[in-house]
Amino acid sequence: MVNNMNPHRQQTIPKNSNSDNSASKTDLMRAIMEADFFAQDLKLYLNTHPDDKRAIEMYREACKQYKACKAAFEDCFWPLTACSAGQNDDCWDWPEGVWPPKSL
Amino acid sequence: MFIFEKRTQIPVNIRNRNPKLAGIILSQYGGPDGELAASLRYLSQRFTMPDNMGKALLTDIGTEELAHLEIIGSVVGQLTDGEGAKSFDRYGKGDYYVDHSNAVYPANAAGVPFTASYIQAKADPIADIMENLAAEQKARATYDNILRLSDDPDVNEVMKFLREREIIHFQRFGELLDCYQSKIKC
Repeated sequence: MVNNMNPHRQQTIPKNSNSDNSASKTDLMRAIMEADFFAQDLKLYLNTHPDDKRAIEMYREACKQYKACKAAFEDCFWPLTACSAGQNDDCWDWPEGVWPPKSL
Repeated sequence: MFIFEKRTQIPVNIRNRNPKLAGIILSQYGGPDGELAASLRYLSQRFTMPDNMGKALLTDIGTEELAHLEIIGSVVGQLTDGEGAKSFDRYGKGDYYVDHSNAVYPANAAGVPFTASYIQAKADPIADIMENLAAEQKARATYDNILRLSDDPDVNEVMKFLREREIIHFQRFGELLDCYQSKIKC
């Protein structure tokens, strides 16, 4: 297998040209995207290389990172999945935030 | 089961407005080698993959293609955000505007609406995976063409990412094909 198809070498996500004021919002969102993308790439690789122990370990780490960043983001800003919505009885918050075609 | 997460796979921030470029990009939305065709093809084929490895790979790649469909829709939507009849007309896209305004509609750059004729699901793993290998190359070639036609740096950054994903998908389908071919008894 050609080396550049191996997710042990991480493909990167393009830099964001967003000029949002809140640095931590875009930083956290970027961290979510990077962790989840790394997990996604590893997932596809593992589907055809199920015995790669190192890759499984990396996948677990990426998922852990993703969950932590997602929770931190949702704590400060808005729910990213519907199961995170409705924490506050006062107001239904699922519609909050940035929806396509806009993007953080 | 499909779960939605309120974000795109990568950031999409297109600063310029350009209905003409949006029309070109639209081919990766509703065109023959675009993300809708890819996702529908893989998510349909997955039902008859012979084992869980095939089902997992087809489902996971098909799901990622849906995420890419969303990215393409967002690029098109941002390129035409707030643009009206006069703008579309000036860019030569009055034909699209009359039927869709600045909506995102599944058609190709020439205005041909999406059709399931673009895909096949044959329940023959070799035939299905061979089709998928070709599909990924056609998608990659379409991104090559978009990059030749576009000089918008924000758009091109997104296109380069999506193009590279097609190459990875091609690699994974190749590995699945190797796996299945080695199991066939002659």
